[in-house]
Amino acid sequence: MRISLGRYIPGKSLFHKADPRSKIIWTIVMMVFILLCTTRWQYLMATVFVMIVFLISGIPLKYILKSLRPVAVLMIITTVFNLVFYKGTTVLFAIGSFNVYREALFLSIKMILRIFMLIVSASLLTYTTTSVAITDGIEYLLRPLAIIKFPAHEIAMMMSIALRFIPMFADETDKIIKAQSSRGAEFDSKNVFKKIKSYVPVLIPLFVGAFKSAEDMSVAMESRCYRGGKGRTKFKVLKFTKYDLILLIITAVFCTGVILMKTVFKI
Amino acid sequence: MSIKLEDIKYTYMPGTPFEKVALSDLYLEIREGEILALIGPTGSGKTTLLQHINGLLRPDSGSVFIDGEELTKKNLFKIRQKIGYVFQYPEQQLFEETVFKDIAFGLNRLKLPEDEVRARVYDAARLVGVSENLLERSVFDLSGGEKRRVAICGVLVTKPKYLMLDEPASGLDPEGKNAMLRLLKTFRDAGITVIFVSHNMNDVAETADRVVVINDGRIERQGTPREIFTEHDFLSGIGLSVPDVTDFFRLLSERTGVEIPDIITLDEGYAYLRDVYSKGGIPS
Amino acid sequence: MMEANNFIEFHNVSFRYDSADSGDGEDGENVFAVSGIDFTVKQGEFVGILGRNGSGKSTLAKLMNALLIPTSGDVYVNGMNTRDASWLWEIRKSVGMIFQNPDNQIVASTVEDDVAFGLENLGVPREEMEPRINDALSVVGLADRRLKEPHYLSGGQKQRLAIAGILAMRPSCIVLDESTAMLDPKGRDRIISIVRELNLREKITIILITHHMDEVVDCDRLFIIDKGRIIKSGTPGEIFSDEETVVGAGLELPPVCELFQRLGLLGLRPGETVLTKEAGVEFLTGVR
Repeated sequence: MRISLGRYIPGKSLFHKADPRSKIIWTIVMMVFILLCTTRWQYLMATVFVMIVFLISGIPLKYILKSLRPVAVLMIITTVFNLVFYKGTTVLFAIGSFNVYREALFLSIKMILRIFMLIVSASLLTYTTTSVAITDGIEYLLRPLAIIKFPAHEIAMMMSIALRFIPMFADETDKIIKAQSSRGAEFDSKNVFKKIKSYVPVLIPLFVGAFKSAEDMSVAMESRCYRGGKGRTKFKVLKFTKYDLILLIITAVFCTGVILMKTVFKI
Repeated sequence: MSIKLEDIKYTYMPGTPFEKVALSDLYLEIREGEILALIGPTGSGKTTLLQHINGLLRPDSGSVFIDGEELTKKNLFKIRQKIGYVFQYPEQQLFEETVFKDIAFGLNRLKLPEDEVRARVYDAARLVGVSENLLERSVFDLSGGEKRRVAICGVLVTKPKYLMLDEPASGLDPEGKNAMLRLLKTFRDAGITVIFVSHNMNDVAETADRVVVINDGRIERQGTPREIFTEHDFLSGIGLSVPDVTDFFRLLSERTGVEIPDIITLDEGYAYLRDVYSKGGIPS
Repeated sequence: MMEANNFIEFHNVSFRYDSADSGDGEDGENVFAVSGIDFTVKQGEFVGILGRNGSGKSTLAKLMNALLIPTSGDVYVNGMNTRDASWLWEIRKSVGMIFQNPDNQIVASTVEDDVAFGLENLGVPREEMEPRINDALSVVGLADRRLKEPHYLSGGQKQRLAIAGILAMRPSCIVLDESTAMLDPKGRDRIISIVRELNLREKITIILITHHMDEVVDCDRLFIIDKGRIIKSGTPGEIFSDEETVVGAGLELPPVCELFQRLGLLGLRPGETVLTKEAGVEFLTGVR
């Protein structure tokens, strides 16, 4: 089991050094503005911008391509549908009785770029930030919500423990599937209902194990004096540095660019 | 009739940073009717080897033969009937409402008549020593030791000719552990070939007919426990040890300069010392 | 009522799980997990507790740092009654626990963050954490793994990490609740030598709960618990000379000890107990 979105790759880039909070904000802002892009010039600018940031991060291209793989099929299918069925005004060329329109081509390119940019932006966060840092960042960002009794610390703690358990459960699932196959279980049934039913011997032990782990874990945490967020100090303190400033300035430039294009230049 | 592994090579997670040659140049024959112990340091490939024997893992190259028949994708199910595999902590895989149903799980695909299923479950329970009044209980109501026995029944129910157990005694208290070791002998006496993984050299010396030492994905030694446990330097070189009794007599021999025959079990040690004392004690 | 150098005192302690949260394998009946327990552990002592699976060992352990409060009787830790909630955090800080399953007690996603976890809970100032984490990790030999994810550690390393997490909190006592049960012999030896070292050098009180007899042959004192009661206590020599009780409690003698016990039955210098190989050789060669 491999989770491609979210494997931290150590590095020394501006992105790696920046505070997780700025990176989380960056990611969210980027996503919103990418979705706001409509015209080809806006797309062009966004793409160039994302590519520049990507180059700064120093993440090898193959990792980005890896995170694109799961959506590649979806992208190809929608592109084909767009090209074949979308009716525009200018015919580019014809395949048999189907006309491929200029507008369809642009639409497809835009769609591909949009998905590409969204995934690259999100991957940049997860590839340059440890899961601990991400949860820390989320905790800090959610902190103001404590006023409305929002349990920011508890949620961040839950997330970080969940992240720690993921590889363990992946191993455990693999082991249980193997053990039940050895006993003669069948997992490759064609029938959907049978298929779901065939996973009962995997799911029950997995849940029983997970509950046991959770119980053990809560006892272990309690015995190490855990009592919620109150009175806790932090080993890793988040600091706003010049890297964050640079990152936020870059983001601001991009956002201003998009806004200007949309309102003043109208391109 | 036997299990044969020929020139097995297996690489773990090829093409990733975690790539590791898990097994290489591996030849092994497991003869019918023996208790074979598989020993080796953690991460040496013991479990990977077991998983090749029942086709859970497929070798990159090389073949596995079960009673002369090569293991392929097609005969996988048939061969797994022949080769039982008890995972480490097998009790973690129990899931049915009742002990009976859990034991019978392995028979579901065979579509056997009900009385045959019943007979097989009872046979397995009797062999392993699971009492009949447990059969209608929930699997989650049993004690740890009982659960492990039930899990073993669930593997035996297909009447395997070969039974592989990955550290069957781990986590058990001494009483449970000794009972488990006796059980392995019971299986052998019932005509089942037993292959077990263990870290406890005392247990291996007391139980196994033959020992295979695996290190770094290769089989480095095989032989009777006596042959293996005389190679103290080799074993400690790869991070293994010899039985405590063997170690004790080696120390005694070193200190006294007296030549002492290889002793690997408590019975042998006792017989030797009794003999020496009857002749007037250890000369120092 | 507590003697000056007693660190833990159990006064007629019984504990019964409610049927609602009857843990490990209990039937949900209201059976006493432990009953009538009376014992003391002195400051700096190395104590072994032996017993078969389900004998009540883990319950006993959890009573020692107020994870469980006795149904009747009292437990005192360094003079603090575990019943008194105001001492709760002081008690848990001074009695650290290492549990059985290495995977289920590591909280954080890196080694150093996990050691920091306990310190964060105690509200230790940040500047103080760094040296404490360093020290704790080097004691258990994991200093070079600081930034690793726990998932890539071996079982033995995970248990050492758990020990480091406790050490950083500067406990007076460490309770190991079958902490070696899931480890291979090498991992187990390492854990035992680390706690022995901590006991000798740092005078940390160690309570080692196990069913591996070879781990306890040089403890100061041993207790055998069966069916929730302490059925025997004494030095390892006293305990292991009583084979009947040991075996009756589902345990066994250490191998060399068993050999000599059998010889003892033959009338060869009875009354002496040989626990280790060294002692056995000395016994036979008459070097005393």
